Amino acid sequence: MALTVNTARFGDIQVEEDRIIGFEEPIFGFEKTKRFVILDHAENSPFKWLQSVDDPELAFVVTNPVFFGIEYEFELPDETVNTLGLSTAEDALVLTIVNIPQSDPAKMTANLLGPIVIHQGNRKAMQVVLNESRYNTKTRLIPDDAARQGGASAASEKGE
Amino acid sequence: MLVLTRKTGQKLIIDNDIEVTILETRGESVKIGIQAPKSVSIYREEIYEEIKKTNLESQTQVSGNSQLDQALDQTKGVIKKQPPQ
Repeated sequence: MALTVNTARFGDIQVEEDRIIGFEEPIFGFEKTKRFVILDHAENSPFKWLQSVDDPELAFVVTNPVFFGIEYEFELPDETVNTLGLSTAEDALVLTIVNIPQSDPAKMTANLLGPIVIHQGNRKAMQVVLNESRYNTKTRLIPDDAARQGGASAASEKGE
Repeated sequence: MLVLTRKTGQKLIIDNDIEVTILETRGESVKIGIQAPKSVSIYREEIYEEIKKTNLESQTQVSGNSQLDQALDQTKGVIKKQPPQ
């Protein structure tokens, strides 16, 4: 069954109920909002939107840092495995929340210390706090030099 | 706030199934052992607060933010690996 979800960014959209993700543990700071849906940003984009089903104004840009050449690997804590009912790592979808400073959007960062983990089968999700000091909450996705050349290399890719 | 004094090796029991042990004190550091059911979340406070703060900062101002779209679309040239379709 499809559900009509009101969103500030995408307007009213139809979402199949089996695409709705339920946070078993809320995203920290957003204790009242537990139902989200993942929406594509654009074709071939590394970004997706984690859009609240219940609050039209609440959405996060999410990505996997691997798309940006950042090595990102961690062991899932037991608590996460139990809460989500994960039996294999393949069932887990890992996304990190992207922070885009309004003053300089190119300096966007991802929160690698607190990833969102989603069980792709039962669609249970939670934000995990990693006890791994090698990650932090604000990892730059695009180095300064790449950000400047970004437009140019995107154009050259199209020409290939 | 309940304030208790404990010696090294002594424990606290919280709610029947959470056990907190003072393992070691050295200078200003206290080493604590916690035994709790797997459903109980335990976080270092500063990390918990930092993640919460970052989440709050990251919720997007979506209405009429063309700058944001521009920034997201500009990254196409720096992608190392194509996302699965």
